[in-house]
Amino acid sequence: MFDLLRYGISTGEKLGADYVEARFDDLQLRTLVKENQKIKETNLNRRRGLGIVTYYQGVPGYSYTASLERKAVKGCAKNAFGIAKASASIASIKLNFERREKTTKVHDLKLSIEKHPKDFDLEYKIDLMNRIETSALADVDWVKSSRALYGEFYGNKFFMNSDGDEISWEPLVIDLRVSLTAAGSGDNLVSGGNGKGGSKGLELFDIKKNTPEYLGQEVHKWTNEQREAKAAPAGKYRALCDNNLSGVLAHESFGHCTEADFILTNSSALKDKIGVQIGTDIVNIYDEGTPEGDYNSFWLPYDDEGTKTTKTVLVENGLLKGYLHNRSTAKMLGEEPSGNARAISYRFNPIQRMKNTYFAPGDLTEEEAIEQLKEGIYAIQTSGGQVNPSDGTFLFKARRGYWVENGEIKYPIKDVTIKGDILSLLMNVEGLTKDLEISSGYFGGCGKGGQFPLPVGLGSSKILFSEATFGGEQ
Amino acid sequence: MKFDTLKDDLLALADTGLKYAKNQGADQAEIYVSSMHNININNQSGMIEAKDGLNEGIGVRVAIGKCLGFAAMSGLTDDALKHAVSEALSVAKSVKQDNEGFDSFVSKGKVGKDGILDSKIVEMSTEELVQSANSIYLEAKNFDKRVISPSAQVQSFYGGHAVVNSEGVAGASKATVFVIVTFTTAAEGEKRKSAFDFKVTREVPEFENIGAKAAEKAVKLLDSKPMEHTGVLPTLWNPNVMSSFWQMSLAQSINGRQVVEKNSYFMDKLGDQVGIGKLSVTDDGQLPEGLNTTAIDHEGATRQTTPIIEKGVLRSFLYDSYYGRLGKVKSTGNADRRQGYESTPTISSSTVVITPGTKSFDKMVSSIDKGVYVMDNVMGMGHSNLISGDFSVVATSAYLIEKGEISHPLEPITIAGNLYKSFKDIQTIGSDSKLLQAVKTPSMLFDGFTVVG
Repeated sequence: MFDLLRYGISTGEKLGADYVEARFDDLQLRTLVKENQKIKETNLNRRRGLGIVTYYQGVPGYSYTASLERKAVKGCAKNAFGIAKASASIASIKLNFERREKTTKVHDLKLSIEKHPKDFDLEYKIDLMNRIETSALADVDWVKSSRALYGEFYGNKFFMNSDGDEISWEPLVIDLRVSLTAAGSGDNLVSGGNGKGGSKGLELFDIKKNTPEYLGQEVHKWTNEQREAKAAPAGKYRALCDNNLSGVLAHESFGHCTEADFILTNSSALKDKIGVQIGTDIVNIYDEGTPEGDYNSFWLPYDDEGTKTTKTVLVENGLLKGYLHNRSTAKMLGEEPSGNARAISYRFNPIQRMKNTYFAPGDLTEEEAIEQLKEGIYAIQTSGGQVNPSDGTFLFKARRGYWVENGEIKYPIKDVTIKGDILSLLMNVEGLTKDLEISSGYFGGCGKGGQFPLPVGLGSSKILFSEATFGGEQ
Repeated sequence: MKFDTLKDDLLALADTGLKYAKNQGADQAEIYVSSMHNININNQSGMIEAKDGLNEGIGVRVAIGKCLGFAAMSGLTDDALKHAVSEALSVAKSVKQDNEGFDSFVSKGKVGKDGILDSKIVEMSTEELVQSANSIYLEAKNFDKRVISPSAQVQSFYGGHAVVNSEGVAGASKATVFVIVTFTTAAEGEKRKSAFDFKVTREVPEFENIGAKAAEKAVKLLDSKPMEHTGVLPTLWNPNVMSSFWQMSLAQSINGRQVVEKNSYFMDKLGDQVGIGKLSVTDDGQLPEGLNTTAIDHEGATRQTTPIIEKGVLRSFLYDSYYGRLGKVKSTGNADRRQGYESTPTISSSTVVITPGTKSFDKMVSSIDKGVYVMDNVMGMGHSNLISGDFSVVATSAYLIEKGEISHPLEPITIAGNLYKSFKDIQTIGSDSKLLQAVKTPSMLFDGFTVVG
């Protein structure tokens, strides 16, 4: 495959490109869906193709093809060069970066796992869904509908550039999920969801706390609790956010604002804030490609510009320390490339995306955090949200939670929106618990520039906020 | 493949796939092939990101008995075709559970009309698109010195899809689409405000003023003041926000699958008065300018115009062939494939058309003593509870209406209500219809939503 990439690069260089990158992806995505104990979807997608970036006078152009014929690769290099040339005279921001002195030659890099999904048949995976769904249902009459999902993504990525880097590696992510809807009090419907995923082998589901049975039991319990839950009060309250919700805040409300393309184009609330206190001094946020330790992170050893991923310090002791870069923006802003240039498939050029973004843990236990919360909302899990990086405003939906009084959990509350702007929110961090969790998966994922869903990892322990804004619901 | 002969070329390839699938042991098969050329130019504050390419591939569904399998592969080669067929067959063989709702793929029907095709979109060069994006970008940039982050994205698409199946369906459709999106941030002191404008059309549109308009909106928002109000107020929504309102309120409630599976709020309300007498809504799969207009839908069924709500009375849900059979009605030609060849058909509206009223936008404003004008952007609509209909959104570009006039812009406000019940709280349907990506709607005035800000 490197031969074909080399041909694309030399074609681009002969046309007059200053620098050329070529990528080949052969990725396989499997999606299995069960609904109400019946198989609904058994989809398999293979995305195979090649993409070429050419730089001309500091301006990139990208073109791609699904054909692997030399003729198509040549056309692809020509188109990419044509685009770069057409844009070069107009672009006012030029993306110049230094050529690498030391080249990387890494072939067939892969995770060491026990049970690669490619070695297990469809029945094995359907059985995982059967188990999680059966456990979630638990033979009760109040469940209205159930849905189980299994997803896997793996394959081969090849990268080459004018510098002489040659990198090939095998990404992998698996995911198992279940959700329930149930009749609540009145004519209300309530829901619950749970799942586990990450860059792991299928042995992930053999671990006691991740077995389909355990995950199913949890969602059963949570959904049942929602049936009698009360609406959360609207307004400003002290708040404790669980690992999942806080992790999403790290990614959505904070992480996107650190993407250097947003910084360079004045589209981020964090522009010109390096060295500025943006959170309380216990706030530490990192973005890392291959976190060590027993986490369910997404494994990203190299980005799609061939940069080895780093542990990027974004916030340290409340001070903003850095941004997320590709090679060009790192050079322009005087930082080191952080390995954040990522593309979802051959049809897309790499852009600044997150790796595994997480809040570093603190020293509280969950009990201590609830006690310290005294009175307020313990918000748990999220069904997603929206964010505007240019001013840092966000809106998230916590999936469930509890009302806490006198440092004790009083009663369960329904889903509730949490909104605000990230800079005020980080200044309200009063404490963090010890239990860092990093998660990633096949379902969900990150969307930017039409590239969705890109697998990313996100994480946090539980975070205690002195104030957060909830609600709006009647 | 040339655009002129694209339908025939795609049909020929799909037909080869069908024969191969039968030879390999499929009892029934459906071959979907698509090819879409795209040029995408994004000028963000002078940083240009540009690309082109041909997104093409094959999606194969096969049935062995009632066991179904689906596989897709990028590329339109024999190799890709064979791979997709054999993977789909391997899934169908190993799934070992009947899909009880399945009987056959969609049966042969009439092939309708393509929407408007604009040859200029096919002929436009990368250079022309780069220039177009730049002129929109410069308009926004030069509008006011408080503009800090102007951007313009211009895209052209042309291509088509074909479906053949073992029931004798063999249809194809072509489309041309042009997209302009401009997003601008303006700043004054620590205050930042963003606004956008966009056009999505089947023909090359006029470019002028779109960049300046977005910039003007962002700059105006810098004068925003807090609302300082909690309670029910009249809210006037422009077509941009109404588009997301309709998409969310109709996505699940009129979707035949959700009706069959009993998740639709309207499932037992056919023939009932669900909205005010002036509310009429159709799904128009053959609207010539509609972005989702195709000669056949994405499983090969006939595209049609379906009345959804007539004078406030619920008339029909939308179906594909699978859920039509389960719901004991005919397909309404609403099978869509959101990820193109990579996905199996799902039910989706084509273009939802709201019958406009007679009151102009200005007349609607002048009828309001105190209220809110909601413009362009609401955050959180996508997280509405589609089972109950409860929604809570943050409007980031809203204006106060006082004594019949649009007054100052507002700091973000929260608006909460119920999507489905609000059909009866409509005060006025405007006359200013605008075609958006999936909805053609006028502005609308509601009374009954809670406003907090």
